[in-house]
Amino acid sequence: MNIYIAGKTVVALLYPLFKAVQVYDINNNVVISSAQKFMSGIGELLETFSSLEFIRYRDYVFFNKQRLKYEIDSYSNLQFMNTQLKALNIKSITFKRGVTQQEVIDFANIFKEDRASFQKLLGEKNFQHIAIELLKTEKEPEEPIENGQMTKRTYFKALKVTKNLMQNLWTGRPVDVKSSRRVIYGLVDSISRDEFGILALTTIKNFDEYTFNHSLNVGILALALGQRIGLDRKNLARLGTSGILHDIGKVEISKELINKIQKLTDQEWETLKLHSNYGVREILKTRGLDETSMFAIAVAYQHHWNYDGTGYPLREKEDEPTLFSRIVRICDSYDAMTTARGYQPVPYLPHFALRVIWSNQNRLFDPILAKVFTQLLGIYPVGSCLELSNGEIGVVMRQNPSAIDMPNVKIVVDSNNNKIDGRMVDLASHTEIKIIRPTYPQIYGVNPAAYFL
Amino acid sequence: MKDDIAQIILGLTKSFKAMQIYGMNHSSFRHFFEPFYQTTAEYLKTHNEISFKVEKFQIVNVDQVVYKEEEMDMNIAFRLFKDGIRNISFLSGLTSDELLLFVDVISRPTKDWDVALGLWECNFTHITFYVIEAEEVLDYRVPDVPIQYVDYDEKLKQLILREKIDIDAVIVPDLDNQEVENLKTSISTEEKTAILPVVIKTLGDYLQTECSQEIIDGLIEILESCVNVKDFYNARRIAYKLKDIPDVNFIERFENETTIASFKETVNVPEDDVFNEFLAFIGFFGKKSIPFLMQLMPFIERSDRLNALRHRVAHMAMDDPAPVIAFLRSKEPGTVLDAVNILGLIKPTKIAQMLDPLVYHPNREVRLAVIDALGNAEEIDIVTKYINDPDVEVRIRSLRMLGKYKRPEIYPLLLERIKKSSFLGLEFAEQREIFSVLTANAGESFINTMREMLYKHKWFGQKKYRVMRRLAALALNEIGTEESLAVLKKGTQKRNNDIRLACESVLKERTK
Ligand SMILES: [Fe+2]
Ligand SMILES: [Fe+2]
Repeated sequence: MNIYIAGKTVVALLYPLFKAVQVYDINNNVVISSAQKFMSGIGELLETFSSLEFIRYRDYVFFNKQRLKYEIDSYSNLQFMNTQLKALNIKSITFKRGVTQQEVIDFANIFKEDRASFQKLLGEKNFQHIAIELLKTEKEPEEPIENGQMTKRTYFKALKVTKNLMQNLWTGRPVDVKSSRRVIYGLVDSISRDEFGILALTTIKNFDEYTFNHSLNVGILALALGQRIGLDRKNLARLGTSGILHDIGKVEISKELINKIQKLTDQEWETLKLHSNYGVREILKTRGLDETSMFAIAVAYQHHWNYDGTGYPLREKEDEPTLFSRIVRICDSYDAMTTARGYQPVPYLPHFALRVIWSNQNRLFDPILAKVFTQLLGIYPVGSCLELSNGEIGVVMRQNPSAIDMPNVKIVVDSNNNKIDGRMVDLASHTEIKIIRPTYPQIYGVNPAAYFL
Repeated sequence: MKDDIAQIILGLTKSFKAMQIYGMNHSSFRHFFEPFYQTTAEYLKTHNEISFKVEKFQIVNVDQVVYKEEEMDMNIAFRLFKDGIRNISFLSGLTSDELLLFVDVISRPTKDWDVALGLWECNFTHITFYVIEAEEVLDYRVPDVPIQYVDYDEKLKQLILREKIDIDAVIVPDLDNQEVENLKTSISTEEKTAILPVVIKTLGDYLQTECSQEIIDGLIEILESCVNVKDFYNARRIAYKLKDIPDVNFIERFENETTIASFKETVNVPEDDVFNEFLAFIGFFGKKSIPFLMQLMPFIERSDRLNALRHRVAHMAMDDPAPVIAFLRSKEPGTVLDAVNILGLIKPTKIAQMLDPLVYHPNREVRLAVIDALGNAEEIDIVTKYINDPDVEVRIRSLRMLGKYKRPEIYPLLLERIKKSSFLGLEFAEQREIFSVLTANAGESFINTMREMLYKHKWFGQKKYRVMRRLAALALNEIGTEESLAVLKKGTQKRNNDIRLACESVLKERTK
């Protein structure tokens, strides 16, 4: 069994046991039987792996050094694990060979306590085959892998490749398909290593080069959503490509029209709508007809199709958008709403954009995907600017998978209205600080993206 | 260095070299590769994972240099390193195919070949690797934002007005079990349903708004690959989309001997659907392909399918049967048979003339087919020639055809025949058929002849005359007029046993 599946299995076995001791006495049958299931499940694994080690880093849980991803079927197990490890200030738990059922039950039993009693009981119990390492300070530990730099490098490389691709098409120069294929795999790797890290970079918007950033951002958002619903790497590569290429048809439309600030005439609007058609042609021209292109063709053509059957280009009743098109439909709308453009100098706050997505499930968007997208971004998506109850302004740096309305923020404006390079605050751990409301970063002269670079 | 790691690296190096020299199908490569896989798999049984750090000219395993090569040619470390690969791990469960593919990917000529991309596209389950993008100056800085007042309340009001949303709606994005199930189903259905039909539909719809050459070329490209893999379902759908576009000949490329000969397996696939799709797709083919389709026919095992294809070809040759006629001179009786059959379906005006040379064809099946074809075309004159054919079945078939189309001129001929003693030596089926023809062609006078035959020993006095009485009774019954039935009724009162029994049995049949 590979490490990843093994990790998911162990978490799935631990969860019912932890839940059981919260409700029942440790001698209760429910507790015993879930402990038995856990023991028989890990028995085989302990033959393959010498020990089963869980490390929590930021909001990720690693099993034997491999990151467990938040996926739709393991989401609540993993979320619970992460929340408890965080609450008890645990850095790692290791189950070693020889662990007994009694040890496991005793451990589960103290795992439900609050931090103080947990630490006290842990000292008393002195487990032989379960090693628990506590965090020395409140400060987050060092990164196990040098992710941040990697992620940024991948993002900017991808941005460069996307820009080259579109500009070459615009000017009729040959395009380098190989480098765009490579970039996709880099993004897929990035997403699986650190989805929150790369998602944060989608807050980078560029007024002058809107289309390039937008294309890449849609690709990344789609990848993150795709990973969350459990797509494999092959499909993620297809989805990412489709996301990046969704508006490729715009290269056949004049830049004047695309960047026009005034309200479009009906005629102009009809022309703009043709980018869905043109996208098909551009993908055919640049990539030919491999499997991935076919997925991208469908997305380019369908990404303005709504869930209720409306949208453009016109379609027959039985034509339904593919899963990838439904994913891109959401990510495209979100990124477009949150980006400043000629006709929209002040974009929607990410929080508002998310509410627009939420309110339009069933009408515009696939309702299940809209929900997963909301889980992914949280109520205050990464890059949101928040007015806090202590008078400070914070930028949302990372979601809390365990509390979607209490993200991690960085203080960027103090209570005297001075721009500062402030501290990180986990609002889930600091419940004394409340969110008053989201706010416009322009008011403070803040560009949220700057904090992710 | 640990022994087992050394063995693995040795195996890798040798396999890598052998792959470049011999290629993966050569036994010399296998000679090196098999033990390489064995040692690796053995190691993974106990260690779960083996991990290598890749540096420019060397490979490191747990702080130990296990491979070092300064030479640029054939340098495994550098090949991986130059494309950004910094770490490679083999995990337990590694299959021989995966490892083979791995060696293949890293061994390809380096020019224009991106090893990282190659490995990525393999989608390995038990090989993981870590790739970094080339070092680049990333001086990207986001623009400063000037302080600008935005009226939050006003913006909120506009938002609510424009998007018509409830801004305070409670958001609980958890999926219930049903929704998780639905999502999983939707993902797995998506994986099962191919993307190809969607693309075909999309390109087809595109053509309705604009007749774009790239789109047409795209459809033709897909069409070619569909025909290559014998996916006639999609091929037909594409053909349907392209058929009305002026100046596009999308089918010509398939109307050749090689392509059509490649359908040999298709015509015998077990699935009827597949064959029917094939047949429908062939419907788009033109006259040019007739000779090749004719050559395909001998390979068809099932007669219903052969028939179906003959119908298709007949349809194609409707206004000009020349390509089919050419096959009448074939040395292969089967092919002549096909051609005759198809002409029978087309019914060209000069069919009698066309088939005349085949009347004495040595192959009985061909002669039978000629009868059928002529019969279908209602060209009976030649059929008359067959009543003297040496083959009983041919004679019977011709008689049957003659019975179907009334031919008074052969009446005396056949009458003559039944009066000869040799008639009694014929098989009953043929005797019966001759009588049927006579019946069909007969007028009033025939009833008299039959009455005489039934009642009297007119023509021959043999004992076998019982048979003749029975045939006469059957003929009278078949004529079925009041007059002829009266003869039979009278016969039931005769003292002669043979006469009585013959009449009684046909009348009994009749009342049934
Ligand atoms: Fe679009
Ligand atoms: Fe878009």
